[in-house]
This record gives sequence, structure tokens and C-alpha cells, in this order.
Amino acid sequence: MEIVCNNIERLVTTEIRPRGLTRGAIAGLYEAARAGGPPLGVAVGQALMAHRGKRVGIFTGAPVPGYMPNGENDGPLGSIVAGRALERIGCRVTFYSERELFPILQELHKTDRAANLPYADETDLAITIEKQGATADGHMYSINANNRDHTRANIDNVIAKLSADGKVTIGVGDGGNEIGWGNIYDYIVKHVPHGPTIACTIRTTHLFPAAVSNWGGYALAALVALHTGDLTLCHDPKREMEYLDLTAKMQVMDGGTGRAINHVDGIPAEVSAAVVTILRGLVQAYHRKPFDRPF
Amino acid sequence: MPETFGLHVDRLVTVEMRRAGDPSRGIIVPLYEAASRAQRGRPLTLLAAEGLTRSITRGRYVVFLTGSGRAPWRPRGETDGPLGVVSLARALKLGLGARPVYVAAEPYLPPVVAASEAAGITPSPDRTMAEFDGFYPTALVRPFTLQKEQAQAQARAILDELNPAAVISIETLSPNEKGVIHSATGYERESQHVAHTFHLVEEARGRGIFTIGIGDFGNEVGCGLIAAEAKQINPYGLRCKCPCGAGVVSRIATDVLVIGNISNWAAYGVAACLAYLCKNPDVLQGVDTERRMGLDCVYAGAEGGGGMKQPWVDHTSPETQQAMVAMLRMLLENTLRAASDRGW
Repeated sequence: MEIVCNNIERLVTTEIRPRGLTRGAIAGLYEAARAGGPPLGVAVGQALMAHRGKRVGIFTGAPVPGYMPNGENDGPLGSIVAGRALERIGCRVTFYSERELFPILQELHKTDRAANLPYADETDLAITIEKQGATADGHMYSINANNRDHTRANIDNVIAKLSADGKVTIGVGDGGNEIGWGNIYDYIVKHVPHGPTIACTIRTTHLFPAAVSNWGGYALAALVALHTGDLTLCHDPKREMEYLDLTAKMQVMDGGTGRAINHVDGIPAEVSAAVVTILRGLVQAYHRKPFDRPF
Repeated sequence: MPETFGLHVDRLVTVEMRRAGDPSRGIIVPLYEAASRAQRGRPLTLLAAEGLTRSITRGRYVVFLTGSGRAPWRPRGETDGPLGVVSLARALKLGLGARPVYVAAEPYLPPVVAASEAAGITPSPDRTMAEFDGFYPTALVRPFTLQKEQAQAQARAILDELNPAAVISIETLSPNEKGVIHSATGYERESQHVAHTFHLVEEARGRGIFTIGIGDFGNEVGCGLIAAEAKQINPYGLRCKCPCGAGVVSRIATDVLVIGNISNWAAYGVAACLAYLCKNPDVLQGVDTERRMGLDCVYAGAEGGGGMKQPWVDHTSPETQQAMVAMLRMLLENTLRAASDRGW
């Protein structure tokens, strides 16, 4: 399990994003998150499997009024894929997001914190995917250090309540500004561009870095597939293409370009589908029967 | 910037996808890290590409070695090797104006030739064709003897004739410290099944010609650079399944050693780095070219774990090969593209 998790993580932390977005950081962030320990997916996979039959909340959403009024496509797709895999193993999954972002999900109605707090009580395991959290000064920022207060829901206190109640939380992010990166806050301040401004202070039980947050969500689904031996729980490359076409049609934006196109973080659908293909291959190889070659 | 690019190319091509129970599962990252330590911690694919750009001038020959097979199971060899050779040969031809030379035992040449034609590089045994600088790119083909007694002399003759700027080995089996060549399953690979092309590398090094070894197990040309560590990492490193008992690890070192999960992938990584240095993404083949290369390679008889005529490579699917190329291409294109300020 350690070998395959190591390779899943190497794959989803391969940095492909275009220049203009933060580059050169994800490998270091991943190493810092791992801190010399075993691959992160080992514990994350166990945590996911331990919540079979329980209530899982998946939190996502990153709208920017004027630029991405219907939100960004990085986050929702990873959430849907991870959530679908968890539903298939018996979890009761609820998606939480801003109303304007994704009408088919359960939404967070407002950006004020008190309104969101009750969600903590209806959740046994929380997964946040590309969900920004507060920095040391209490504000939220994009990876380019633009202020994001009042543009999206703040769920810091939801995570705090879950943690205080001893519940498991998993933070998936790709920039250093999302919930979960509080686990390696000092590293981000020192090593990530705009780190002192954007570093999120919110900690989670598990941090799962990815070069694109969606890919982290796909990796969670792959972990469930690894544990169950059911390859159909993995994301599918054709479906990834369909999803990115759908988000473009619904004006859910590519965060790399700010346009409604079938890219994610500036990376075309075909390439994101390629990541999905290799993820499936990793799971498939893990479950394939060994053979003895006679030559 | 080059280091970040090279690091992520290395990371991608060393994602290990070997099946559970395979004794070589889990060795790629340790082999890669050992090779990286032995080469000043630089990204290996970038190191190889930099060495090639330094060594090669337009019109110089570059010798490629490959060919791993075993009749009756793989009488025309395997898909790992030929596709990497063709990718890198194409990159050197288009990027640096080099003249590729394909060297392999006669039975293993058809898949190389077929994949090369699919990639738009026309191979020929005729130097007039190989030196044709007209409207389509070409390569030279040189069959290599399976008579091991003749191998060293032929190696010298090839170097004397062509005076290549570099010798590149991709997935070429080579001898351990006792001179015995082994398969990845620990068996002896007898000389009637494997050309002793490693003499070309030894001769080239003696003449100061730049050499690159690309491998994915430890028994290939180049892995001699990390022999001591590879013996500890490889499941048959200390003890093989043949009477020699000295393990499978190669004693043949090269100036640069590149490790990948599949040797082809490592070669694609070097081609990507060449494309980066040439500032031209098309120096690396695209997904459609990769698909055609794979198909034509197996139609010519190579096998890769998916059965005859199925373009699998080292037991990974055709779609996976194309996915690898798609990711490398995007990594390359996004790195070469000018930065834009998103503005919000």
C-alpha cells in the first residue's frame, strides 16, 4: 500500500500549471506535508474507509464576483468524484458550497460564519477541496495574494468545531492558501511566493497536497478503490472530459485563465484526463494478479 | 526554471506502475534517488539533455542501442526500448540536426524501424539516405551481431566509421561483474538472444564520446554507475537465478544515467528536456504520433505485456503511454509559454 500511495502522490503533485500561477512550490509543499513519514494516502485511505456508513461533508467552492461569478472548476469536480466513491461504499455524503457556485450541491447560504456552524454537527468526516481558510490576519487570499473576503463562504469555524469534537478532517489543496495547509504553516510562510500573506492557518487531521486540487479529490477516490478492489470507484478519463465540458457550459471558470473553457488551472481537459488514466492504471496494477515469467 | 521543469519531468516518469507481487515493485524511486545522488542531485532527464546539447553539432551521428527480447516469447523484442529510442532520435533530429543511428540485433530491428517510420523519421541502411538533408528526416540502421566474439570488433568499426557525438542506450541488457547478462526476472540472457552492444559504450567512453544509459531495473547499460546501491535495491541484485550467483546488476557505467518506471518514459523525459532547451514543444512527439508509434511497433512484432499486436509497454496500457506523453507535452508547453498576469 505504501508503494502505490507514494506513486499516486508523485503523480498528483507533478506540477504542470502555466506560468503566471505559482510554480516550483508543490514538490516542496508535499515533502513538508509528509515530513519524512510514510505516504500521506496510507492514513487518509484508512480514515476514509473507517467512515463507511457515516456522514461525510465535502466542502468546496471558490467564486470571485466579476471574474468567476459561478465559481472555479477546480474543487467541485474533485469533490464530486471523491464523494461518489464514498457514497458507493456506503457513506452518506453531503456537498457544501456557495449557492452561486454549484446549484446541484447542498449550499452554504451565506458567508457569515454563524450560519455555517451547524454543519459541523451533521458531519462525521469533513473533506475540504480547494477551500480557502483564514490567514494569520484573519483574512482569505488567492494564491496571488488578492483578498478574497466576502467573495466566498468562510467555514473555518466548522473545521474548528469538528476538530474540537474529535472528528476527522481532510484538507486537499494546491496553493498553500487552502484549509489544511495550517499543518505546515511555517514552511509556506518561508518558501511559497506570497507565503506570509496567503498561508492558511487552519489545520486538518490530514493534509493532502496536489498540483491541482481536483486531482487530490481523484486520488481520494483512487484510495477508496485501492482498499475495496473496485476499479469502478476510480474516476474515468472520458467522464473527466465530459465534466470539464459541462463546467464550461455552466460558466464555471478555469481558474488559470478566468475563462469558461474546458481547462482546469490552465491545464486542458485532455491532460487532466491523462492524469485520471494514470491514476486508474496505478490502481489496476495494484490489484492485478502476479505472474511468473519463465524467461 | 530549468531545474523545476526537470524535477517534475523526473517525478512524472518515475511514477511506478508495476503490478502487485512483481518482485521489482517499489524499486524505481530508490533507484532514481541513488542515481540522483550519484549525479549531484540534478534532475536526470535535464542532465542528459544538457549533455546532448553540449556534445552534438548539426550533422553529427548519434548512436542508439536497444533490443531486449527472447524467443519464443518475444522473438522481435519488447516495446520498451524501441519507442524510447525513436522518441529521442526524433527529438535530436528535429531539435539539434543530429543523424540518428539505430543499432540492435537483427531480430529486434523491425519494431524500431516501424516505430521510426510512424514518427516521421525514415530509416535506411544506406548512408546516402541517412545523410539526406532534404524534405524529410532520416536515420541510419546498423544490425549488430549476435556472435559475442565479433561484438567488440563491430563496435569499434561502427565508431571508426561514424565518429558519433554520443552513444545512447535505452533498455539494453548488459553484463554483471562476472560478465553474465540477465533478464529482469533474474535468469541468464544467453548470447544468442542478446547482442553485446555494450561494447559500443565501453569503446565510446574510452574515446571520450558522451554516453547516456537509460534503464528501469538495474541490469541495463548505465546502471554500473550505481552498481553498489542497485545491488541492495534490486530484488535480484545480490543473487540471480542463474549459476553465476552474482546478481543481475550491470557493471557498465555511462556518463549520465537516467532512471524511469519504463525506460521509454525516461527517454521521453529526456526528449521533453531537449524540447525545453530548444524552446520548441514539437521536438517531443505528440499524443497522436505516440499512438501510431506504439501500434506500428507491435505490428512489426514487439510485445509489451498486452499480447501480440497490442501496444502495451511493460504491462501498462496504450492509453497510459499516451497519457504520459500528454502530461509531458503540457508540462513543456506551459513552461515555455510566457507568463500572464491573471489580474485578479
